[in-house]
Amino acid sequence: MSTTAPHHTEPRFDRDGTWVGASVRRREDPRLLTGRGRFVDDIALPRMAHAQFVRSTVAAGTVTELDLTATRRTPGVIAAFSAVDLDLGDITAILERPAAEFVPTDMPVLARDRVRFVGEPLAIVIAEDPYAVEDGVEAARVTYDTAPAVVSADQALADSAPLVHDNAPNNTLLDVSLFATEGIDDVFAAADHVVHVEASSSRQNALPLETRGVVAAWDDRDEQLMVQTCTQVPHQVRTVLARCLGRDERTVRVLAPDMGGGFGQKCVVGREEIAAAAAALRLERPVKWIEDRRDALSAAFLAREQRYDARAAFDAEGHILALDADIVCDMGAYSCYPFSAGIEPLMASAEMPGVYRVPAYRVRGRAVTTNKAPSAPYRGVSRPQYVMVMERLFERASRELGLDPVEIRRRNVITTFPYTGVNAVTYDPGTYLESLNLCEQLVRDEGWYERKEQLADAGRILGIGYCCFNERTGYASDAFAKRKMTVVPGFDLSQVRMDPSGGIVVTSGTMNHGQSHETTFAQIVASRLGIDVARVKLQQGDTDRVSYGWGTFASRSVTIGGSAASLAADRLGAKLLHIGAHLLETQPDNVELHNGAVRQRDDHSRKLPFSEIATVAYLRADLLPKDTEPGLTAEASFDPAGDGTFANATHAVVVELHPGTGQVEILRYLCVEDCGVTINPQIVEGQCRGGIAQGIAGALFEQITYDSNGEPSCASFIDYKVPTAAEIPDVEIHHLETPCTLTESGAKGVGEGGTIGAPAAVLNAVNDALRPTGIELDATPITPQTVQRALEARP
Amino acid sequence: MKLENTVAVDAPPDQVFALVNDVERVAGCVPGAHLDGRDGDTYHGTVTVKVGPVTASYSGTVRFLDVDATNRSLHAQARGVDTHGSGDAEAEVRLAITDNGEGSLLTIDADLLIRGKIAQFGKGAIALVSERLLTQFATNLAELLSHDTAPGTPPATGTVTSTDTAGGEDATGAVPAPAAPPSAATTTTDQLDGLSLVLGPAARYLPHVAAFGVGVLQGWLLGRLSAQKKQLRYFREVHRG
Repeated sequence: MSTTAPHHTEPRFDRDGTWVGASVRRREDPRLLTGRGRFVDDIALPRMAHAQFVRSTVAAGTVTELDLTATRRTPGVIAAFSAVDLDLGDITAILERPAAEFVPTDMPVLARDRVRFVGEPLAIVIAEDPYAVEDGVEAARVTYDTAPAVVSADQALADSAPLVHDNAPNNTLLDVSLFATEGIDDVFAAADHVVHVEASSSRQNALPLETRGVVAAWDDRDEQLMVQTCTQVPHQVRTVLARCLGRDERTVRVLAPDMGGGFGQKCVVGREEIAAAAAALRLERPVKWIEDRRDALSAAFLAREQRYDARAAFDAEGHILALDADIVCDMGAYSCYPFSAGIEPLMASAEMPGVYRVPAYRVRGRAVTTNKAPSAPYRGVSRPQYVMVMERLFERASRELGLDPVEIRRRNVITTFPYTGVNAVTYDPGTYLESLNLCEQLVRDEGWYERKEQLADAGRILGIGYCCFNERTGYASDAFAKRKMTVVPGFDLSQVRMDPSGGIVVTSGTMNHGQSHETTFAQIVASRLGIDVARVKLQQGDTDRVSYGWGTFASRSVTIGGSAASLAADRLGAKLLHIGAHLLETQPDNVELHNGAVRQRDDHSRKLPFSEIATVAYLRADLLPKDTEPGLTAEASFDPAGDGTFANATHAVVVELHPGTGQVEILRYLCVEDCGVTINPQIVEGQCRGGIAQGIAGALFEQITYDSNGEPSCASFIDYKVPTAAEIPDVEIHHLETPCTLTESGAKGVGEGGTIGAPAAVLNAVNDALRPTGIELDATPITPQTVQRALEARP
Repeated sequence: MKLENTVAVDAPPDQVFALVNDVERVAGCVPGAHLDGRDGDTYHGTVTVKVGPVTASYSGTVRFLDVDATNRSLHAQARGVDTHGSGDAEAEVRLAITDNGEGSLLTIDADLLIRGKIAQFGKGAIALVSERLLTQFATNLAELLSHDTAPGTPPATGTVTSTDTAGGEDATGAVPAPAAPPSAATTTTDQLDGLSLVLGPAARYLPHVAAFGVGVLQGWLLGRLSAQKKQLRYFREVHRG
């Protein structure tokens, strides 16, 4: 473990010996910053038509008539298709669990008769231009037999509630108890202290700046449907497209161009891209669909609406003895593919004990269905919520026991590794205690505790809050199989290819949507091969160029994709050494890769540049060793061993509450994180900062609401309060480094961590500030109204 | 969304009730409404409402469910579908006329259900707009009645209370609706921007502020262009040097 990482802005391999650990400038930036990126909406094909959707205006009911006559007569409209016209297969996510635990539900590409949320697509309209298509959508006439809408988890679970899906009793799609330690009730009965927390978090939109979109076109020459879409999972989109259309996967090619964020919303398969592709096939014309912001806020995938009823037992010294949690997640109208509606409750159930040594654990996780836009994974998936609940439990216990909030955590975090928890997960080494101690030290050194006291005398209200957490990054096939998914993400493939001039192309099944894979993967491969980072180019997001892949989610890219690329690079390196030794006429163990050449270990002046070896491999195959095939291509796959690797961090927040307005102002934000070996510190910090901003958004601002009829009341930025740069504080980041032994580069994932820690840290800080009032808050977002009411209750 | 409005009218209750039963004239008092025809108890028409950038034009019917001459009350139901396909609206209206000693007291109870774009736009905006529209309707109606019964009497005053069953925030801080000119009661087929009604005087200045902004921007751009030109000329001269 070390606290420093090389941070050269202009790294050189010949000086540093590696590109890993250097803040190499982002390869993507020149094109993105000068407007030369290529996003879906930048794509224009000859004869391209434009699509939009007729969407349900009622939350629940049956369509009695869908009249597209006027739509089809609208000037500029080419065609309009309903579910009957297109006759597509449904999208169905399945878990291998008994019917009592999981109910699969079919999500039709276009709703047939039953509608289950406002915004559900009923028909696709295709026109010559984006204006005519809007006119066509407006001309559609839909009549409904409206039914009462189910708009909350409470309503969904109530006796005699209307059913959202007829085959899902109690509106419950998943009801599983993954763990129940024997004798846990006795532990609670005998414990010195039992604390109770009822916490909840609001529905949120992951809100990528680039909304969803697709351009689909049939290519006669390739005999392929070419679907360019912004997705985190190109191969999964291909699979579902082929299934819905009843075609071989060979005949579908999915390409993902530059993306303006995804955050999970784009790691599931959407209905609109399938409908647009089907329309393109039917019309034999390219079809483009770009989601507008209103649809993105009301009809795209949402997340995070959860509530917890949790208890924890403690002994007199503040050691946790048992944890008991009942988790209900409001997953909206449908199961998302491939993760299913189980994604949130299963994640929370499997991982809730987190960084703490919890001896006994019982959990019940439920996914309920309601008449709201369906949920998909969102950066952190359930972890921002259960971490918040765990941290609340410890805070409450610290108050009850009269212990310092940091001290009670210190007494409970896992310190010896590997550690196998009560949740049957084995944790690899991390810096749980070290990050906590360092974070507290930083807060103390900056004098925040003193300032809080001093300013209190002047009537100002400050609070300090912490959050200590870990995050499993790089889920192995085994980990998803444990959750009984029928499609099991886990492994990834990579190919590393050297061309005759010595340039390198790397392919990866992961999918960059803002994380700067082009830079990071180039650094990994360039370090392995000892070559200039500029000569390595990453290719991803094309199902024809990449043999298979699971895309990017769950902080898996650098751990799994990066490891596959490392292994493929090693194999290519071995071939270069083999050919090099042969051409240098020396022993195979007397050569090494160095600075773009194979050189002799005993005589550094004798070396062959890669370009010369590559020339032989392709153009002078007669000079190759007898046992060697021509060409320079190597492929490898990687699937993490065991339970994968856990990144960790501690966040500290200082807030000030403003009486009168109830505003929560963040005065200081500190993050001490450990993602193993940092490949590019600047990119890691960018991920942390962006994640923290989204975490603060959930803690203080964002909330998707519906009225009692299921009408979304957040269909514009007037109502969905997204924080801007003005609300997000500077974040100071400190790195700890526990090299991971389970991945090739020693790196752990870092994409989601920031989002996970922020809600708990902010909530704890607010509660610390509210301490004189005796009021404790357990719900996010913490609105000014709530804070103001609490402050007014001050004695 | 439940709305309630009471208006005092300086005329005997029976006279007021007779007028209120004249649908053609009453419809003219609904802001943005237009009556197309009649089919027994059912009247066909459209109501156009605008909230900021969103316009909804509801085409549908008004049906009288109950007209009680003895108690001087009536109960009507309206249903409409937006001609732009973005949702529908339903309203149940109860009207009652009571004797308040000096004249009549007109009580309007409305239960509104509005779906689609217009309901999704700007939290509470539709509630505020509906409230304003009802006030406007009541004012128009009172004026019409005052003109008919006793010309020259001052217009009646009305108060509105609303309960937003949708759970939105209370509509507070709205400026009083401008008093409708008598002509509004007779020609109200034009669409009405409900939001500007709510925003009041501020909205009227917005176009001027925007125009001013554009003007400043233009001036700045022109300034920059001419400065650039000067610089280029200078470089050229230096180059020729």
